[in-house]
Amino acid sequence: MPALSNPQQWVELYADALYAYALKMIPHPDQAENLIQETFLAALKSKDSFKGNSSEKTWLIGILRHKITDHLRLKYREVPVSSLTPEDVSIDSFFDQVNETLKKNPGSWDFQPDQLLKKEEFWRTFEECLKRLPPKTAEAFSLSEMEQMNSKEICKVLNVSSTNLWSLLHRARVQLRQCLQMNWFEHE
Amino acid sequence: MNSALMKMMPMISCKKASRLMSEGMDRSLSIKESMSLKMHLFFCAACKQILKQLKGLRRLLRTYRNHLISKSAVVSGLSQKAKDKIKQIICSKC
Repeated sequence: MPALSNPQQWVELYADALYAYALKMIPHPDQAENLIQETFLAALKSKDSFKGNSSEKTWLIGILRHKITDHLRLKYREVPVSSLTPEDVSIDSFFDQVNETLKKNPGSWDFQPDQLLKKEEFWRTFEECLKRLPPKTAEAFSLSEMEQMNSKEICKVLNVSSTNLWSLLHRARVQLRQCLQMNWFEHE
Repeated sequence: MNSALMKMMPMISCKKASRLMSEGMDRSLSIKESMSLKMHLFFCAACKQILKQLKGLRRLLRTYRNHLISKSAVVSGLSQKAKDKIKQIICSKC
């Protein structure tokens, strides 16, 4: 039976790494701290089930990931299903009703990523555009594109099917792209 | 493009291409979906441009996130006070 190190040493050994991981997904120090605490307590309870298939650190990160998913799922549990707008309502407005071609010229985005990264004004515009999306749509987009969560995990967190998720992401991309085009790139 | 191929596969609209290009960023498209999308993009410069913009935006956001993380509290780690508190709790359960 593989030996775990003494739990009393876990904090010194792993707390910083776990905290770094938690902050990426939940950028609130207090909440991240609570999740680390819950993780260590859960690990303590289940230390006899550690099989040694992975390192201790990987095992602890696995427990942390579950805690994070549970935390995020609770956050979205309150959103009623009916608040999801019908699938393509807003998408339709971007295309001609008869032949479904694009209504507007998409414009051209010539940017250097490392230059745009430093422009605070661009990120303020981006945040504004994100705010204009319905909440669940914005969150689906953030979890996918910023947190880089995979589709399965996002579906668990938002309690939606994969088909619904793809619709949310499609709507997010179409609207965000248009908003950035009109409010930033068109004027650059 | 091969006209026999075009007859077998009617051209999809910009609206359908928009959906496929977005879903193609989240899952693998089937062969038929992939070919329909490629065919549309071959003929539609606007949609081709949009896909380029979406991919550019994706890359930019990933870089931005990494940039934010490297600037944040992550570098200093959990405070000693927080660590001591957690150690106490663990010890009481050990």
